[in-house]
Amino acid sequence: MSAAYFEFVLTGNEQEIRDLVANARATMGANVAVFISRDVGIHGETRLHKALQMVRLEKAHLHVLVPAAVFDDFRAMAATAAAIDIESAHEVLEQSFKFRFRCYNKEKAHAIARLFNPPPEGVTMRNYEFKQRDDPEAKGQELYTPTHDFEYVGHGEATGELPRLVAMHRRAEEEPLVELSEIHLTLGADVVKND
Amino acid sequence: MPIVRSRTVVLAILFVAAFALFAAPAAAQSHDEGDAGGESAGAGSHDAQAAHGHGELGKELSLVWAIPFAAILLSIALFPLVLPHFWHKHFPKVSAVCALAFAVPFLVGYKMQAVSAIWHIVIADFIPFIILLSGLFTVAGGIVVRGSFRGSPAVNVAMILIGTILASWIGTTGAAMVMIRPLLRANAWRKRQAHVVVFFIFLVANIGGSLTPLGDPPLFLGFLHGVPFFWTMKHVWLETSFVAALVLAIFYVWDTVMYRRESAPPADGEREPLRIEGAHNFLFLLGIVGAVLFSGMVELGEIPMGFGVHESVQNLIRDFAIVVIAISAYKSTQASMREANSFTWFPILEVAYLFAGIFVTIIPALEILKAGQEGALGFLVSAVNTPPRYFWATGVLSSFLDNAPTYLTFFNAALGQLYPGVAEAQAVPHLIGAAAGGPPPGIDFLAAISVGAVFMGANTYIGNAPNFMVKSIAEEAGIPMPTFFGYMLKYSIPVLVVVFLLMTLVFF
Repeated sequence: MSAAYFEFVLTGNEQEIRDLVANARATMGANVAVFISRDVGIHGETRLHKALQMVRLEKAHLHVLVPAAVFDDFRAMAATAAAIDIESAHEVLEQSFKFRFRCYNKEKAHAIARLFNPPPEGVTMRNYEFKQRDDPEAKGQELYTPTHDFEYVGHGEATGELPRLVAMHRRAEEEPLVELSEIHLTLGADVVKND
Repeated sequence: MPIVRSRTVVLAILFVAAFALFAAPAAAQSHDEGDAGGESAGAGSHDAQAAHGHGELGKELSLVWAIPFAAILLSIALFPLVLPHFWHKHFPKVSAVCALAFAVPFLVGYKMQAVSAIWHIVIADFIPFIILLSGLFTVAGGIVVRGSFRGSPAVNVAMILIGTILASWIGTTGAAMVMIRPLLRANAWRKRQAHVVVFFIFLVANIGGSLTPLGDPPLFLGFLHGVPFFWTMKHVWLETSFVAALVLAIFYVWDTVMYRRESAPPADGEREPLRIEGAHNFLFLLGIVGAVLFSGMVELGEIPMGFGVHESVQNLIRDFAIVVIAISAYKSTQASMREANSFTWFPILEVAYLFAGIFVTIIPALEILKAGQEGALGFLVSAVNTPPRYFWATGVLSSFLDNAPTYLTFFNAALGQLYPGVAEAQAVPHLIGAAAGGPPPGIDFLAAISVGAVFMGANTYIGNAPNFMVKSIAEEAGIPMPTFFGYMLKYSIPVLVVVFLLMTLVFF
């Protein structure tokens, strides 16, 4: 098992699953970052599943991200919980999210630039491009020929260690001018099924 | 760059030349036929139709003549979206090319009649239009609202309501300029602000301007064509109140939901009390209102302006008074007030360049519409024949094209339909319900055109000039404004179009 994280899909009562995760966090120590996908912007259930769960036509499906180091402990805890089933547990091969921004305000542009450039330690960028345009002729307000004297646009994809990526995603979510995708996971084999 | 510039010039010349080659011979031929039919081209006073023989010209002209008009309207609608920087630099040339593309063949084909028609629209429409907009813009640019407000739903409703009421008196552009920055400051702490700006566009930049000719350019054009100052206030106040109240109520609910999703507001810090700086400009505003009212209430005769065109003395006095008021307002207001509103003359230059093109190129469209069912747009006149249809036709076109020429177009369509062959000066009193006897009044038609042009300018960013200005100011403040289609799909269609449908059921 070379993956850094595993994605468990747990079914049952949502509150019990959340209690399980809280318990795992408490017993495994502060350095162990366990995430529930839907809480931190990681792509998990489909919209259909979410809708079905909302109207109680389906049991809760929660996708839980667990570090490889505590995989066995967490699996054992989940297995002993009476009302929780482990539907799958996939290796996470890679995680990434895409972003793009367009900004006409210099102050906000600096804040956006600080989010992505340089990327936080443990995060790398793919296809990151940004462009700044200054057009002094476009200064002032216009009625029929709207242009901006300053423009900062860019896009890219961030990938890297899951906890750092989640933290970066959270910070970027705070900035309304940045459009973000969910964090997408590339999954490997289902280790529960293969056991 | 020189290559690009010379290419632009060559293309412009080719466009004008091609149009002249195509349209001028047809014009000369139809003009000869018109003369043979006994058409008189008597000198008009304030009535373009008189100069052309009561709609005779409109019967001759084909739709080809309206191509430059369509081209300039489409340029205003599309260039800001697809080529904003090109448009920003070259819009005067585009306007000039469109104007020349119509004017050259028109002058070749119709000679003095064409000179008279163009000169008439310059004297009767273009110059008063620019003077009024410049006056209101200058006065409004010196009024600054200061104070620290917390952008809660109640405060936002109050600020938008004040802007909505102001809009009919200082114009939608002026009200938007005065109120947008205080509103943005009040909401700067919030993560979700785009909806506040969108509803501000709906109400302050559009709907609020529907009660007087000062409110929105289309209504001032109506005033210049004989609609009394208080006519819209008297006849559409109920529609305006209904729509404004409903849209404000929807905003309050929407903003409350969004407000609850915000994290706790920051500490107040030192509060700046509410105050209005440059308040003496309200006196100048009263002066503009007085000048416009004066021109609508007194008759001092006419004086010749050349080329068979006459202008009323009271209108000349009005325009002169507005110029004096604007200069006084500018001189008596500290530059810091205007700087606080980011005031420049550029918006007025934009209006001047573009409306010079619009007013010249609109001539054939207006003439064709005045000819009613006998004109090349007879199909439109036949199809749009009830107040609800006028409301929606004017509104839908105002959503995508500038609402001032759209208003004038349907105003003339209504005249052509209800009073075909009657000169404008005699037809308008019937339209507004002020003439005794004769054909039935067209009050419902004009009310529908007025609110259609003003209200539905809010349906898209390109429907009314202040929409773009507000969007631009909000974006420069760091607010992620919706895209062109996002604005329509998320806001204007689910909110405004539904309210307008409801309004149609209730009022028309």
